[in-house]
Amino acid sequence: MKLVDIVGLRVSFRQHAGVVDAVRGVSLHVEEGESVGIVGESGSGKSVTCMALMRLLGGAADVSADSMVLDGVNVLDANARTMSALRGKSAAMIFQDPMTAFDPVFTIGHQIVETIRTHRRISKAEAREETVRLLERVEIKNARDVLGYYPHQLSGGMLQRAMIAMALSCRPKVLIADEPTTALDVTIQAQILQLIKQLQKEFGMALIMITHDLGVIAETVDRVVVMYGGKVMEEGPVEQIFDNPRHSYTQTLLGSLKAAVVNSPAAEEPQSAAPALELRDLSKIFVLKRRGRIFHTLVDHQAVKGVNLVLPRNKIIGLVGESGSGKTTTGLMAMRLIEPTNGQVLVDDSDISTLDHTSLKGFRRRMQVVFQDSYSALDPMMTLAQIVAEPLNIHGVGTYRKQTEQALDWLERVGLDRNFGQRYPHELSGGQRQRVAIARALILEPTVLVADEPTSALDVTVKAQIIGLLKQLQQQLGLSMLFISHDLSVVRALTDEVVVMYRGRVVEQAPTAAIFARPQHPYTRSLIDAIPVSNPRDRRLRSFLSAADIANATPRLSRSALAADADAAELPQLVAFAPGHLVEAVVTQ
Amino acid sequence: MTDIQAPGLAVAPAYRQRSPLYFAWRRFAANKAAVVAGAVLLLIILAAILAPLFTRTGPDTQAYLTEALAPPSAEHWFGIDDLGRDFFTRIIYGARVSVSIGFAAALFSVLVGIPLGAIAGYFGGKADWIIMRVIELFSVVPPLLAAMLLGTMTRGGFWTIVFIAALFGWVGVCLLVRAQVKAFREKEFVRAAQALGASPWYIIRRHLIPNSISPIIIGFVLCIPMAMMLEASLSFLGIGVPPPTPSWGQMINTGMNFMFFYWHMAVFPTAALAITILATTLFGDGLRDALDPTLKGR
Repeated sequence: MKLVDIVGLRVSFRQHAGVVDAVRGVSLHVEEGESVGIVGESGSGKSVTCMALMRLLGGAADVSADSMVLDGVNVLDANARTMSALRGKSAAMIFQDPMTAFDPVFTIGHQIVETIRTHRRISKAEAREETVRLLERVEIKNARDVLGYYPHQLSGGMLQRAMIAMALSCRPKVLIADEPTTALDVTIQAQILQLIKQLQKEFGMALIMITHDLGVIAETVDRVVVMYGGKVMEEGPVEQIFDNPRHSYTQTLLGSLKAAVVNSPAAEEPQSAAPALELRDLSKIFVLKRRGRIFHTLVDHQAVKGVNLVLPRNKIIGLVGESGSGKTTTGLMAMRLIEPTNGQVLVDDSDISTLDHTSLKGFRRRMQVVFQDSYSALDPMMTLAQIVAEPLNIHGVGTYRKQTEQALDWLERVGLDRNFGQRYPHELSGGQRQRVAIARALILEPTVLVADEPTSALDVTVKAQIIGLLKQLQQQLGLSMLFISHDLSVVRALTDEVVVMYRGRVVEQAPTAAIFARPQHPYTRSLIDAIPVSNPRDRRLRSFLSAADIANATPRLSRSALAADADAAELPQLVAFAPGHLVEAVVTQ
Repeated sequence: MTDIQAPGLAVAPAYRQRSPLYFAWRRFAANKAAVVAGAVLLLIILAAILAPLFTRTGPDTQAYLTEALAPPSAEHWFGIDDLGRDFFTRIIYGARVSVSIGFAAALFSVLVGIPLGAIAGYFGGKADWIIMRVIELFSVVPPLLAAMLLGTMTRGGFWTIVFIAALFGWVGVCLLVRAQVKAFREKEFVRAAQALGASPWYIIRRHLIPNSISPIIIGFVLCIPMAMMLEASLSFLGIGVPPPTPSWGQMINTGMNFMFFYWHMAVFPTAALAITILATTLFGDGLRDALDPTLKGR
């Protein structure tokens, strides 16, 4: 029997300007215990389809279908009571942003217990026990403590696990996962995906995985539905889609996945000039307030510990690590946007770490930054022309007319139309906004660009375009770029050298090819291992290292094996394993 | 020749740089209620300025003593007051006092509140601490009591009322602006401007204050009725605008004594005050929506 059977679904949204067709005749079916992936870019109607199935769309939506059956119930004319029984029992959803999916004013335990008790008549104590079991099942170790935690006390990965526990609490027959890992780090993503797969098998659920990431699809599902512009483009078993895509849009999607794997070898040239940017022993200690009974106590948190980094001219260095590893702090310190506690920042061999605002202004022209969240990176009250011209305005370059003219030229240069100049940021898509942010960063023609996860909020196809644009501009302008990312497939495609950060330290540093071929540090290995596969046949069961495992597995090297000499010591230190390849290791005699 | 062109180059329409104000005006014009309110407000202001042109007597002339307290008629639209003055004339002249006190007080509140709020929100730390303590000082003193004290000390008058209203009005504006600036200070476009070498003043002027436009307008609009009320209360207590200068507050208070027998004495000044405040609020709403490009069409 088909668990989900949608035939000819149409959804349109009424807006003041007219009607927007979001879904145009989609047919979809899911068997019991089957896992189906819906893939497509944002706006392709994949989420709307599932929301329509759950009848979660608001009053502005017109939903019509030839038939829409979920677990034997016709969703189109079911009454509200049947629907609410259906949600949770027959189908449960997990969402992209676990932070907003939980109510911030109630504890995790309270929310899961409530969910259980609305669907099953059991006592509060029983529901609590059930919740503990569920939380343990989703691999939350201190489940009993987590019951009393509020959502903000948990990390994104932990919250997503709790979310899954809540979805499982009613034993749904189908689990709908709407981009469940998009907001997470690579390593956490791999863990969550593996968990979902295991649970699906264990509970015998069907799974609908909505994502824009073909890597996630390759990791998890049996059958793929490719959507574009509210229509199903192609459907088939996952191997068939990856090996033999028939539709051109599927080919484009796969193309952007494969393009990310191929790196053009950078031409080696002798490095004679001073490096564009150098960080010497850079550290940052944040002073945190801990709430006590009466007074606050101040606690030091060392976010970055003695980072040394040399960014040669006309090169791209990738700075990778999970969230909280200190990579963004390092990037911001290099830009002097956060004051370093210790250490020096050198731009073209001059120390800028102690300069005041006025003397720093000249250096600001040579170094720029692009941020992750392109939405908050652009002032919503300014037109694009004003935004892009702002650097010229601040540095007093040219007249107002000339500034605007140059800004419009740059809009064209990053692939936007000139008449975008009078638009506002909210009218643009994520990719377009990121192009504007790049134009603003490069209009002063800096020599150093710090790119802080510029692509992590974007769709795959758009991501590939932005990477292409960055690479092209880097070559044209001879930029030196510090590319901060947790996305190793992007780093592999773009960078010349990779620096891996873990808990505020550099644990490994090597040319890109070397680090992917011969990773030395256990943390680097686990990062590389977590990259989603690009072919469903490469699926495997992964084992994940805990922090203690990583500490125990720190490589031990004897002095004779090193490329450059170092003293033997008990504590791990950064040593040259091969020429140009540094790794944190314990040096033995 | 080739038929294939890049999609971006295919159409190159003549580009015209329009100012953001043009778009703001277009958004404002689309809001019918705000346009009507704006027209009403304009009418009231014009009437206040051009009062001598369409009133026959001065506001203080007791030309109709024999007909005192007469109800509205074709000749005297709003009737005659207890001292034989044409009530329509008094209402029109009253607009001068009420409207100018409302706007002047709101203007001064905003002029003081914006910079202090922006400084407190952006710099935080000591500056924030000092400004917040000053605000607390003002919020624990009952405005009317302080106003009475100041009013008695200075013997009332127009500028005293404006001063007192602004003294208590800036607190609200300051808190609203501070909250908004604090929220926007962490945004990445502020970081980007810092990375470009912009000074704090540039960031406050160019980014943070324009982004605080909605709370500023809300603060401004809330100040106007507050000032008008304060004027009315003080006038009632005899330390506001001294009679015979007409003011709506004063007229409402006089009208209260006659309310059950001569309704026009209370209804017209109250209606004038209500309409003015409503028009200001609706106009302010429209202005806020117009100046915020992210709120497109609703």
